Amino acid sequence: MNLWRNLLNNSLVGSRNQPLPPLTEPGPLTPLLAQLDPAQPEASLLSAAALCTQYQQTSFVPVQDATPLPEAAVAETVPALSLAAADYLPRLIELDQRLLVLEWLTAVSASQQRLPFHLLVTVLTYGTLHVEARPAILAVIGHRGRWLARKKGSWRYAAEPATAVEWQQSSGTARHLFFQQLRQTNPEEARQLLQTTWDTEPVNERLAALESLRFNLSLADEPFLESCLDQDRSNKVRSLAARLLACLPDSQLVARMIARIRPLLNLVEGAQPSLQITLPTAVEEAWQRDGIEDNYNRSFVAMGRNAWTFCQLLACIPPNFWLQTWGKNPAQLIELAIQNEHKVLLLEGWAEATLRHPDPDWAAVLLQQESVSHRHRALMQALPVSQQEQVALQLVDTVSNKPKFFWLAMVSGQWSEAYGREVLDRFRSVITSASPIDPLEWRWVAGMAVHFPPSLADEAAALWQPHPDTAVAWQPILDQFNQIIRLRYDMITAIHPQKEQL
Amino acid sequence: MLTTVTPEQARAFAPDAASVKAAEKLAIPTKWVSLHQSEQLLWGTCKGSGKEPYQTAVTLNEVAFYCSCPSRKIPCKHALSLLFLYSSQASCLTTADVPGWASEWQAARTARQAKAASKRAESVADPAAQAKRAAKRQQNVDKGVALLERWLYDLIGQGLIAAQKQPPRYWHEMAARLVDAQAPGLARLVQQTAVLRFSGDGWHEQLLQQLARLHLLVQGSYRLDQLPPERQADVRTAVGWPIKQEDVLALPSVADEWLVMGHRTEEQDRLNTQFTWLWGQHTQQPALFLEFAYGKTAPVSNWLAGGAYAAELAFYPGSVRLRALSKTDAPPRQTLTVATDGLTLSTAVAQFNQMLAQNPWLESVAFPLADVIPIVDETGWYLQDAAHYRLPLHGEPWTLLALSGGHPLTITAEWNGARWLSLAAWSEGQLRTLV
Repeated sequence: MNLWRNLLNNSLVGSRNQPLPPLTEPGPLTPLLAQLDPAQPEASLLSAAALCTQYQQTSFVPVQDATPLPEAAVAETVPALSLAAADYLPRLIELDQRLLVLEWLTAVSASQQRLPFHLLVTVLTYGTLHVEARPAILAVIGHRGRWLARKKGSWRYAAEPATAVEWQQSSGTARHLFFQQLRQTNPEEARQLLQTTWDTEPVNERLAALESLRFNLSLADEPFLESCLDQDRSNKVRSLAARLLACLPDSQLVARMIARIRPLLNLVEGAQPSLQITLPTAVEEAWQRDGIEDNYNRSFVAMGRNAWTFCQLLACIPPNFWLQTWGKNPAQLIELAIQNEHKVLLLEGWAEATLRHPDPDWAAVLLQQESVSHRHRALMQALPVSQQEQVALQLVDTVSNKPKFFWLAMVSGQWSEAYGREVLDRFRSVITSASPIDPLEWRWVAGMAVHFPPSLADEAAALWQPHPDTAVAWQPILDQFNQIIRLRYDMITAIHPQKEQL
Repeated sequence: MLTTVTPEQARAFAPDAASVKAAEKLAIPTKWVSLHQSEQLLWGTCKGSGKEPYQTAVTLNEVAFYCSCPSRKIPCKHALSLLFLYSSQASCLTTADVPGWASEWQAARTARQAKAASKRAESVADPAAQAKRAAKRQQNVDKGVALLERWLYDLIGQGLIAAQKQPPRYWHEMAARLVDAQAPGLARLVQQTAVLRFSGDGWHEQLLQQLARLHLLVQGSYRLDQLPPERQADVRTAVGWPIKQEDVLALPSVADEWLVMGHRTEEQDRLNTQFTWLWGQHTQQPALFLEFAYGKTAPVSNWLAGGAYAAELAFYPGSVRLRALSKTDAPPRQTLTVATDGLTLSTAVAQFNQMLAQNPWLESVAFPLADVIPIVDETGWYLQDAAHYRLPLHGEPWTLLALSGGHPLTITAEWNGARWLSLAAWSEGQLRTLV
């Protein structure tokens, strides 16, 4: 509309600074415009503007758009979670309970259900900040969630590739997760897929892919890993490949390491058996190819350069090799190590070896050694949960210099009911005694609530009768403990409406 | 009247996000010394930082909160957590007889409401004083309107570009003087105009449109006696003359089943206004409730989204019937699981244009829209209907997009002449609020 444009231009500059445009416009506004008095420029301008505005707005019609609509989301194949159960997610996020959110998401995916649509934005936004939750999120968002994730930059981690073809063209967390899942179901196919694009991948992608090879690692992967040691350009990739090969007890790399260390480490039998160690003097090229680093600053514990080389060699060898070679059990070997002048590097080396080849007997002995205390959590958590429980109970009864809950709380993952009851028993004996509270105990108790089996929620609530002297201090801890257990119980039962048991 | 409350509905009563978090932490039965319910009332005692446990109560028939804690928020975290407990674990509230303090509170509340009613009746009973007050107000408003006129002409005279460079004071002072002149409606429009300077592309066009509307209002005020009564009501409402609720309730009403389309809150100068949009299922027309609260309290609405209430609504006077009051106190509620019949984009826009033609100061109207698809592309967000008409969407309604998944769905949204603001959408058997 010409008049409107003229009015706009005039008003921008100001009616004082420019003469008014002619207030005419062909059409139904003409008789009304004729009534305006040009001697009052401001009033006329505004009145004309009002007429134009009203006319334009009341005659507005939407336009038709012929552009094709974007593709819609595919129909869902999995049933949606009930609304009552779904309501827990916003509450858990508000309470800032990261581990519980993870537990909830995992339980939903295990129950073969998906999140209802109204929670998709909440959960995708949560995943942008909390990277550890992404695999669990991907499992419950369904087709709609993936469709939605493709529309927003910060959610692209969830726009998972569905086929191997897409994998070759995409990047990021979704791609890594796809590879991980493929590796878990079909390890051969996964490795072959990796090999097709291996040469063109950037360093970070190669590292991430190798990490995924940890799942179902087997001797079938050996040729590929050996070729990495020979050909890969990146130091980090080579050392990761070497570490992976060291986790395979029957690999050629381990055999080579054994050959290298045999002359350097001997058990001298006799009335007072002892270990005899000859430190290597140099790191040969073949050793470096196999991942032995010639840099003593890398070790966590201070030790000399040659000692560090020896330690790395020892770390590559499955600890049970020594049991078979010498016929001693882990406790005896560790005892010998402690007496040796090279105690530090022996313990460190065997600790690393136990991490690569988890074994509950070795772990139990090493967990009692203070000098490898920086490894304790890793040693414990390398074991499967049932073995962790076993080791923890063993240590609680035998080791007296640590507080009881120190060992009990170290067990990660979801505890079994039997273990939960053991913990409750010991807990009860502590709180009903009048002993003063160690502030660390406080922290461990609160931390345990996340691992404690929720099916024992009622039993837990029934047992809390603290000693009157310490009741005031224990009460808030117990309240918090019970609150979390009860919350977990409620949220899990809501996900499975038909089942009584968890 | 609430017989059941979902956790989501309970959360809607919270004044802010921090209250929700605090109330969640308290919503465990072990933290409460006692928890009870009876017909239409929830109550409990909770241990707090004071010596005595706090006494908290919530009425359900006309939602109201009481707590003896020193917090100024309404509802405080204790009252809110009581409601949360009722919504998720109602069984932990045992049935019991109403205790003394709770019935005292209810009685005091009823007495206060009766007193307010009688006070209103009293002021009506003194027409002379009323007339004097009205005359004084008219004088003030006239002065305010004259000031506004001078300010408008000055603005147009210097030009919009020069005006854009003016400090915020230039706008806020004018608004403040209009508030002093007892013309809050004009003050609000001036404040809105101030914000337009920063609205990006096309700001000058929007600014000129708004100034033109203000000018129309000024001229309308001058010629008030010459206008037909409906148009007079439009001008007076836009300027900000209050109308007594009794006067509105005395007008003829429209009975229908009113679907609550959704809520929206506007905050300005510590005044919180809640817009509740309704749609008459049979009369196929919209209605609007406005509720106000000051400072940190949230306006509490008993009309929950997704429900249809059988009620009689009395409409405020004006050329277009939009703002209304309910004659029925606690109407029966029916939750709708099937989407209501909605309009196409063209029909809705046409209906809005008709209303705008009657009342040029109409700001926005909400409608139910059928079979629309939200779209996002590099140019922005849009709504498209089955006939391929496309209109812009306000903001970034990701939840709406999630509910749609690219498929058509029925939604409720507010149209302001330029953009749709989505209020709620039907998905998986429920009307979900988006705001």
